[in-house]
Amino acid sequence: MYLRILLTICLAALAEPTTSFAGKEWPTFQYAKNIQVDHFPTHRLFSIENTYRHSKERYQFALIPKKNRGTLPDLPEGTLVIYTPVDRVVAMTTTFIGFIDALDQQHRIIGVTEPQYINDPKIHQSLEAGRIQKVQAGATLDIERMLLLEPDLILATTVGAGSFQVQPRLARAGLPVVLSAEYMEESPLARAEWIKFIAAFFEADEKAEIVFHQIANRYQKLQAKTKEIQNRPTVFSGAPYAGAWYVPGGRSYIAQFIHDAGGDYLWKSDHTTGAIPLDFERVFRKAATADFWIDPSSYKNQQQLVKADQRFRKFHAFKTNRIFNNTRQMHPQGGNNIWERGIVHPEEVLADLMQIFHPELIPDHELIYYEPIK
Amino acid sequence: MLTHYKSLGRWPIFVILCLAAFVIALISICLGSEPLAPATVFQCIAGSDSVDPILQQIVVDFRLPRVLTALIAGAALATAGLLMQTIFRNPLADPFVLGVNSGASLGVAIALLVLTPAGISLTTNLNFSGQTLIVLSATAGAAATLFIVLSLFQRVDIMSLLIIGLMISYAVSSLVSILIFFSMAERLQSFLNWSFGDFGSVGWLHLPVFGPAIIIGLVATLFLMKPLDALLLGQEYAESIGTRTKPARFFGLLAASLLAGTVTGFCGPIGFLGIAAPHLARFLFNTSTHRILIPATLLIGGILALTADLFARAPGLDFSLPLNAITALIGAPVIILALIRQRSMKHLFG
Repeated sequence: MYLRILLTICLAALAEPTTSFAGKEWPTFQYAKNIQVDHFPTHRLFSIENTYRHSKERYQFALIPKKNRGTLPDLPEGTLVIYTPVDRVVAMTTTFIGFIDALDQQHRIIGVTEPQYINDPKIHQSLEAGRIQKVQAGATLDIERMLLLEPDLILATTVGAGSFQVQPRLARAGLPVVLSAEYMEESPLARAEWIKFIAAFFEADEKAEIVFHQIANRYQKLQAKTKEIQNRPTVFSGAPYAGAWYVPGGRSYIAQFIHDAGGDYLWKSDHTTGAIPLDFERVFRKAATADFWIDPSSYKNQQQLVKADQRFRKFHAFKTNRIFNNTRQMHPQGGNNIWERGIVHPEEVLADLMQIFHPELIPDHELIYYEPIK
Repeated sequence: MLTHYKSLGRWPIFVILCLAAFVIALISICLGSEPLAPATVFQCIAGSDSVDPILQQIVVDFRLPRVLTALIAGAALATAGLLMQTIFRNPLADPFVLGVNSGASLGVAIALLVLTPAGISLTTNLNFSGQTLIVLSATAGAAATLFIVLSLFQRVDIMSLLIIGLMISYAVSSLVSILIFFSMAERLQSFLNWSFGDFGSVGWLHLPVFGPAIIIGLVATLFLMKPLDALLLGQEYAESIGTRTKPARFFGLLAASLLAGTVTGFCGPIGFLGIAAPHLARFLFNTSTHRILIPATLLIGGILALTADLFARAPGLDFSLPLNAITALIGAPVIILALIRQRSMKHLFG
C-alpha cells in the first residue's frame, strides 16, 4: 500500500515540470516573450506563440536527447518531437544563419532558400561546392528534394497566409519543421535571445548562454549611457517606394533601437509594431526638419536619392549630410549582414546608431553595419 | 429623358463641370497632412515670405504636382477609354483592351522582381533608380505590347484585334504571374505598391515629360472627332459618307495607347476611370457626338481622378489608401446609377 502511494508520488513528480535538465537549468528566457520552455527529466518542451501578426496558434516542440530515443515521454497533442543534437539542418530564412554561425554550427547546414538574400560568404562557397542545397525558389517549395536531403530539422518562419506558408506543407510530408517567432519580438535583445532556442537543438546551450550574456551585458552598458541624455536628435527612417512610404511603427524593432541609442524617433507615439504606409507629403511634414535620416531603402548615395525624387533634397537631414544607411555589409547579390549577424548582435547595431547620434559617447567605435550616404 | 438639359443648352453643364474641377482641385490642395486655408495656399504659391517654408514646400512640391498629375492623368485615361469604346463600338472597352496595362506590368515586374534582385549593380551602374526605373520599364513594356498588337492591325478586322489584344493581355499577365511566383515577399510588396497606382510620385521633374506626351495624345484625339462619329454608325455607313475607317481607327488606337501607356508608366495601372468617365459623359449630355463627348469626358475624367485621389489620401486620418481601390469604389456606384437612369445605351452606340 505504502509502496503504491510512493510510486504515485514519484510518477506525479516525473510528470511535473522541473527546472533541471540533466543537471542544468537552461535555457530560461528573460527578454523573449513569444517563447516558453518547460524542463522535464527526459526532455524539454518549447511552446512558441505569436508566430505572425494576430496568430492564435501555439506550436509545441519536444527536444529529446538522442540517447533517450527509445522512451517516448507523454507529450501534449500535436507536439513535434526532435531528437538532439541535430545533424542536418535546413534554414528557411537568412536570420537563422546568423544564429547558427554564432553557435559555430554552420557545418550542419545542408539546405537554404533564396541564396541571393544570404550575406555569409561561407554559405555561398558551400552552395557552389554543392555541400549546401537550395530548397526553395520564391513560392516553389521543392518538397521532394527536401525529403531526399533527410534533414533532422527545418527552421522556418511564417507570415500566416498564402503560398509563402511552407510549414503546413512540410509538416504534412512528415518533415521535422520548427517555427520560430523571433522576428515578431519587439525589442532587439528579445530577438537575440532566441539564440538559446536555436542552441537547444544542437545541445549548444552553454555556448548560447555565454554568447547571449555578453551581448546583453554590452547592450545594457551602452543603453545606460543614453538613459539620462537630454538632447535627443530627431530621427526618421525608410524611403518611399512606388508611392507608399512604409514608416516603422512606434513599437517596432527599429524604434526601440533609435530610443536606446539616444535618438528621438518621430513616430515614437505610434502603437504599431509593424510599418505604417504613409504618403510622402505626410512624412515630409513631420520629418522635413529632423536631424537624422536612417535606412533610406537601398539608396547608396545622394545622387541616387535625387535621381529617384528631387524632393529628397528638401529634407534638413539631406542638406546637412546626416543620412545613414545600413548597407555597409551588403553582399554584391543583395544579402545584408545586418539581418544575419546583426540580429544576433544587436549591441553592434546599437553601437553604430549611438556613434551616429552621439559620437562623443562612443568615440572609438567604427561603424559596422551603417555607412553615411554622400 | 433628360430633355430639360437640351432646352437649356449644354453650356451650363460645361460651366458646372469646370467649376467642379476647380473646386475639387482647390480642396485637394488645401487638405493633406495638415489642412490649410485657401488664402494660405495662394500665399504659398505666390511665394510670400510670411508663410512657414515647410508648408510652402508642401504646397509647391507635393500638393500642386499631385493635383496637376491627377487632372492630366484622369483626362488622359478618360479620353483613351472613349476612343476605345467608339473604335470597338463596345461599351465595355477601356484604355487597356490592347494590353498596354499588362505590358507595363510586365516591364515593371521584370525591373523589380528580376533585375533588382539579380544584381542591384545593374541599376546602380545605369544610375536609374526608384521612380525613373519604374517609369522607363513600364513605358518600354507598354510600347512593346502595343507594337505587337498594332503590327497585326492590317491583317485582321477590328473585332479580331480586340480579341487578339485580350489574348495578348492574358498571355503577358501570366508571365507576370510566373515572375511573382518565383519572388520573395519583400520584392512583391514593391511590385504590389506600384500596381495600386499613385499620382503623388510624379514631381516637377517628371511633369515636363508627362504633360506634353498627354497633350499630344489629346490634340490627336481632337483631329479624330468627325471620323469617330462616323465609326459609331458602322463601317459600311462610315465609308459610304467618305470616312476612311482604317486610318481613323489606327490613329485612334495609337492616340489612346499613347495616353494610357504614358499614364500607366508614370502613375501605375489606374483602372476604372477610363471606362467610367465616357459613360458619365454620355449620361450627362445624352449624346454620342464626339464634339461634345471629348471635352466632357476629359473634364469628368479629371474630376473623378481628383476625387479618388482625395479619398485615397484620407485627409485627417493617419494612413493612406490604395488609389486603385478608391477609383473603383467611388466610380462603380456612379456608373451603375447612370446606366439604370439611362435604361438603354443602344442608341449611343449606333
